[in-house]
Amino acid sequence: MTCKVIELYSSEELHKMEQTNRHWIIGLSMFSAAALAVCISFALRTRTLNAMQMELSAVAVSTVAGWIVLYFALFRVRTGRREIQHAVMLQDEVRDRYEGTVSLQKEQFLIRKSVPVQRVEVQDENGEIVRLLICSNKSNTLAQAHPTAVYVTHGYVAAYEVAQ
Amino acid sequence: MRVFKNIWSQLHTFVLWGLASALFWAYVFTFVTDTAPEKKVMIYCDVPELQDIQLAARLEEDLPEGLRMIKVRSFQYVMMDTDNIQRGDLFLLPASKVEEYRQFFLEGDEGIQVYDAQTHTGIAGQYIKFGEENYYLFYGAKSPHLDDGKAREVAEILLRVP
Repeated sequence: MTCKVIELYSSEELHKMEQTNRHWIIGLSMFSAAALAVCISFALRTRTLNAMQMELSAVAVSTVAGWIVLYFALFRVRTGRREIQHAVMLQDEVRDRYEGTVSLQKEQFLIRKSVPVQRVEVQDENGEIVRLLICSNKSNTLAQAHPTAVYVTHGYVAAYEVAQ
Repeated sequence: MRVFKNIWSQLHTFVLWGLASALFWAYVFTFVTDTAPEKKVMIYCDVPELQDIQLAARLEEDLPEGLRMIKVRSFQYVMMDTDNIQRGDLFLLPASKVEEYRQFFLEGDEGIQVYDAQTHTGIAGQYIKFGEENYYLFYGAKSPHLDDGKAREVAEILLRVP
């Protein structure tokens, strides 16, 4: 029986993640610049009679645009960067191999300044259990693959083996 | 649901941003809505009711050359120890307070009557509600526009407002 090793993060996928994150950063920067330009236009159009309205408009646009940028910067860009850092870490060639029954626990938890993770248990033929971690956004991939072995680096599942 | 959870987890950041945004633009607009004393004429009015912004906009329709803005503000005697108010160009106040403010006015200035309590007639009626006494307009002793004539020009514009 032959086995096939499948990487959780291929180099193409990593490149795509980096590109997507870069596009988000560029998009958010352009959006911020546009919001700032709108606020500056309010300031330039200020006259005696409309000063209060222009100031309130500038505050409203600045506040709402800032919230939008903050939301996506915190929950998309920063999360994306952490996933990229995680994926780069998993590219490490020094890996351990564990063969056996692979089971995934559903509970998700967040490691500070890292990605959401789930626990993976590998029970070998002797009944010994090894406890590992996997990035949550790859957990479904692992669960659906029914792997026969996993490759681990820094305590995280980096690749898995399936029977062909 | 996830969006609300995310927002809740960083609520302090969003609140801080809102405050920072409001403070920042309030600061910016203090510069946008003001200028150097040489480029503006300040009119201080001690009257019961005043539509200061509307009156300023009306006066700016005939803005003299060399000026960027005319500002109209309410004031009271307790505010007179501030340098900004003492440097005002024109002061509009009731007859009963003239002697109280005398030291802040141009020496020898007897004032221009702008409201007659007996006939209830005066200037800028749609912008100023006068009290039950005569009102007068004076030039400020420390006005930066006494020599260039701008204070006089703006006073003439004000006197023409019906």
